[in-house]
Amino acid sequence: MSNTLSDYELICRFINGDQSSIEKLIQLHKNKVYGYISMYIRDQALVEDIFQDTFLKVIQSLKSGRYQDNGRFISWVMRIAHNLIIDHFRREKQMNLISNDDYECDIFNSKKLSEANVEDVMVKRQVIRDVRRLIQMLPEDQREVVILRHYTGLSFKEIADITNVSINTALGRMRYALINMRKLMEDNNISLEIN
Amino acid sequence: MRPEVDSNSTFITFAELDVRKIDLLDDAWGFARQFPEQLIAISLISPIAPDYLVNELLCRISSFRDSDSGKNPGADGEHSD
Repeated sequence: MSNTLSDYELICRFINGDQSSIEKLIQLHKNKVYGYISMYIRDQALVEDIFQDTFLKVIQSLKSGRYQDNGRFISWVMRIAHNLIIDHFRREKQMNLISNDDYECDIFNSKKLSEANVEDVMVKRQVIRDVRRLIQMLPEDQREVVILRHYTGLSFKEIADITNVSINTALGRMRYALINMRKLMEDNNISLEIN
Repeated sequence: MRPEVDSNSTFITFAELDVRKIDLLDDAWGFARQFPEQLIAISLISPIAPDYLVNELLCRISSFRDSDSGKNPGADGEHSD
């Protein structure tokens, strides 16, 4: 039997005054939220602002009783993060999220990089940059499914719910995304030679 | 009347199927089989929230909490099931 508390139990405890529960929730989901935001926004400082604002909004909503548990907590948190990202781009009137700039700032602390030597690190960093660019080159609806599925770990049911489409549409978008990635990898001569 | 079983295979029950870490739809659509290279590529990026960022957030939360309790002593007790 697991001693780990579910999201719902932690939420209930937080609402009832146990402050440490919100810290546990943040620790549990920080990488998913960070991953989601950082796949959309290149500016590291902005990623950090939106990351913090997301959790502050979550706390505000929990405290004011606006959260209704109708499934997974993380879907709701992602929706908040998504809305904050959209708000940002609306404010900036900069809806074109795709950029072909070189992404010099390494905001991804890839676990795989830590164990390698410097030369490997350089090569891997380039591959990661290429992969990131590939994902950014996908059409918005396809990119969103890839990010939600692989960087936030949501199920297709949850993705369908968040993006307001049917499960089949979400699955179809993933399929098209992977087909497009394969094509882009061929066209751009990107191959994976990482062990 | 029970069906005869000609096989020596040990069948597992539905309850024994462990699908907690598998998205059955993902599995059914066969993404892993059809696009292994693309999925490996995607998995190369593993964004991790920096510790300083999380610590800063936790500090902000505790500072709000402290100021809240300063303004509204006893407010924590207002919540109920």
